[in-house]
Amino acid sequence: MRVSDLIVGLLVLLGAAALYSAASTFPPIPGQQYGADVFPTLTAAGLAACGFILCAGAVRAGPFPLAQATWIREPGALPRALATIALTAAYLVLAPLLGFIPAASLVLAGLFLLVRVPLKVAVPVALATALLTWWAFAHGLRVPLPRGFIEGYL
Amino acid sequence: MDAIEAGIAMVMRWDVILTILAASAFGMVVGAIPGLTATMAIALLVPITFFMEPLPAVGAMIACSAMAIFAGDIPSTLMRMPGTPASAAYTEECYAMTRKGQAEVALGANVLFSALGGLFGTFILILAAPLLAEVALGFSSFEYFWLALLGLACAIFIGAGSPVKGLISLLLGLFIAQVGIDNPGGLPRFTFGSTELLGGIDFIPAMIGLFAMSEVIRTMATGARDWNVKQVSMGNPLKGWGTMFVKYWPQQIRGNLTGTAIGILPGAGADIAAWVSYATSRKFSKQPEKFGTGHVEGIIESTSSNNAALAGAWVPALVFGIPGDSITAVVIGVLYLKGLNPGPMLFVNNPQTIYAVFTIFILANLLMIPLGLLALKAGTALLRFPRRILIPIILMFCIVGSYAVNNSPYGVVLMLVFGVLGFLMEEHEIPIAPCVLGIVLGKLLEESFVTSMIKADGDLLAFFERPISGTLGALTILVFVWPIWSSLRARRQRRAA
Amino acid sequence: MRRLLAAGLALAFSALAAPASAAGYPDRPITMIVPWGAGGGTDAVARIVASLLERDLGQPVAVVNRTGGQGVVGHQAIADATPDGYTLGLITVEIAMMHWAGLTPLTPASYTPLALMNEDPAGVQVRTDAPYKTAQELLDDIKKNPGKFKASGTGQGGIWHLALAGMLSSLKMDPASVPWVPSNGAAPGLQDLVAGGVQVVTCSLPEARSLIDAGRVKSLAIMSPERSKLMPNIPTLKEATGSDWAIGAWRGVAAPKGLPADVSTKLQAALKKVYESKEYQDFLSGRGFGGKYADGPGFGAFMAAADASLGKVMKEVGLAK
Repeated sequence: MRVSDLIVGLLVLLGAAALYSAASTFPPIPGQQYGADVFPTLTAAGLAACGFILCAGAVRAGPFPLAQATWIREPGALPRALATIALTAAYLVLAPLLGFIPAASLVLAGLFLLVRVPLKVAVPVALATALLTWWAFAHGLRVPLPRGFIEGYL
Repeated sequence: MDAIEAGIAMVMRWDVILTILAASAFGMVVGAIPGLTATMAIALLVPITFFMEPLPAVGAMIACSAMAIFAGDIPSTLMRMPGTPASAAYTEECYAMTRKGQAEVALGANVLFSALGGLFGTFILILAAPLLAEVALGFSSFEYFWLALLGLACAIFIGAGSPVKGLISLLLGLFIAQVGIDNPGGLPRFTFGSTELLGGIDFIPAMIGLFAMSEVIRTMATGARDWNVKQVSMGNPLKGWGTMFVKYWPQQIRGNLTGTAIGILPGAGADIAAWVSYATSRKFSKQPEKFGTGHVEGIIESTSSNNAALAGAWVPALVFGIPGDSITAVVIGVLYLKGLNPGPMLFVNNPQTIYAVFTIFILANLLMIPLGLLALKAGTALLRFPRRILIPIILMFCIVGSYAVNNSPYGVVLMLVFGVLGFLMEEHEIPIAPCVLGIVLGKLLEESFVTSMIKADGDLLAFFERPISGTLGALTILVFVWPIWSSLRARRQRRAA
Repeated sequence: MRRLLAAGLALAFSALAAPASAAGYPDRPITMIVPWGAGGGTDAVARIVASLLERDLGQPVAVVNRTGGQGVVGHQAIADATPDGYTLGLITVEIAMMHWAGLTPLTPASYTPLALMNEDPAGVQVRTDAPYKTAQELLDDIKKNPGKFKASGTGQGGIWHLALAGMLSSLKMDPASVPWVPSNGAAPGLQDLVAGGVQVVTCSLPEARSLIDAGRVKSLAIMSPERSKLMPNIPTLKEATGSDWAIGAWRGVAAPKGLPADVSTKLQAALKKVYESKEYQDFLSGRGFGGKYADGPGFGAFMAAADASLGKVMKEVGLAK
């Protein structure tokens, strides 16, 4: 997952440029000399300086051996990280369609299986966690979690 | 003297004490849930207080908010997920202690020094409220600008492997704070036409993402294997506390003072207090190299500080009805409803009520110790779960917590985006703490700068014209210039040698 | 298992039951969205209305703060909700201002109005030690020194900013002769007044009340046709300066557009009862808020009138896009 500092520095420079060009379009507060563009411009300048220093340092250090974190060499590490992100995104899609309890149970079960929890443990724990969370948040603390078919009866 | 006795007698009634107990337990639970802040906890209490007597109503608010601020340390320590923004400053330190098997020690320190900090703040409130409120009322945007800048200086002392990367992180935080329409110009910035982004980037989902979600992604990637450390039991809390109390008394006093001072200022609260104290602690520590590796010193100073700030916020609230933070903003409304109109006259007309309020403060902070210990034991039991079970459940908490902030899936989206961002940042050794600090201070910094400039018709010298502002300004410049100057001097000396 | 069984039974019954109508409404918890943060005046009104509504309707009414974007986010969330009576919102005066400023396409017509619950007129506040006894003296001084006085009380283009600009404009003065210092609400603005950062704050009386009581701030006039019940000794702007300008912040309950008529009728009746309840009236007098009621159609007409007049002034003073 790690890229060299040169690339990070270039990304920062790119971000600074985008920030600067966006800030230059902000109109001033009528009659004032310091408006909405002052801070974004200053931030952009700071980022540009940092990006430059980072790039310069990387170039001076010479070709960079990609010092990957140890975990990335493990088989399946990257797919598992991506699957975790994907499952969280899946919750966002599923919750409004199915309601909180089914969506949360499915996502939890998926996460459990991802780290090799046996199916016969994963499913009941996922269900129990989803129900308990529903009970505590929707009933106890009145958080309006997404309601679906099942929640109407609880 | 009669008023004091009458005040104490007003509190020592069953209904009052029971209300305080119930509100404490409630505050403890809500504070421990990430995404639900101490402010949210007492906002949930408001409808209930409509139907209460004045004193139990106020007592419930005090007890609930004190417990919630402490309870924010629990998920922060156990799951790297700050329960309230006030815990964010020392989340990584607490979590590092947990990784070393010292979760109970870390939480034990949080319990004791939170309670002591709260008591200290209360005593300041009792002794000098009218006087200090007067000083706080003299703070205008000029003073707040310097204060925010001083806060940013904390980023220097929090420490990062590479100063440039720390600065990038800080600037990123400042940029995040600029998104939305809530800026002095009232102009939508970086919103890409989205209504949600118009509201800006909510601090809490961002914080849950940066701290907790990034850790979840990393742990899931490695298969969520169990740690090969055993959690040590705290043993007799009194003994451990005694040692800490003796060893770290200067840190504790400093944290108390900083926290109370920042808490009293209406424009700054417990979260900023905790950052400043953590940075101060590291700056003046004899072992700064231990910070970040699970060292209790900085935790003691900052946890004292945020609870002291909480009591400090009541100073301007009681004396002038000016909220010292978002919690006292809710409380002031309740005070009016109950006919206890805040203001100097409250101290003259109703001294027994004021003393009753002080008594509740003391009681609530004392109550925090046994209740906190119970919560600590219950919380650390979580760590005995296999991590393969625990981590997915933590992810579910991240989702529900960031949803609950605004009751909107947008919070979850933010949490996920910041989770990935935090993960990538840490992969590249870019620290996340400065970014969080930037988000906390960004708005205050910009608002105070632009409004000051409007008031001064663009004259930059105005930042030095007011006595407090000038002093703070000189101090800030010193803090920024000192490290540069001393490193230059060191370099010159090395060259000479 | 018993829950599952119960769910199954309920399912069977619901298949037999008639489709949802006002007869059964409400049969599950209701959400009330507030576009402003916990702790503010709007939040307090929402929470008392919600708890009284809950008592009347027999279902929990949960208050949900959707903050940010100077109220746009929350107002949008109310308008976007399903119009089934299970999502209500407390809409505020900003709904009649934001679209003129080009921040959102939402207008008062984007909702089903249910009840107007409160209105607080703007006041003209200065420091107690300021050398003015009347609003006229202050205005004369402003006329002599344009640009010297600064005012605050809310964000750029917010309701109290408009109150000031409209007042100046109604008196044939340049709205820019008192530059606006944006603040994050009335409390920080008032604090800045006391700290000497600004000279005038045009927020409402309940917001300024604690500092007025503490003897730090005085109110010279209120921008309303009638004097306030809370502080009857403060003259109206008309009495003080002859200007007819009146403006206030109001709050009312509304639902998304397209609410079924029977649900709307039921909610209007419940909200009328809430408004007339002793608890709500006690709340208003305790907080010093001004009471003002209108039923659904009345609230709709009130908002349409406010929308037109605020729009006119915003164009006059250059706050409209």
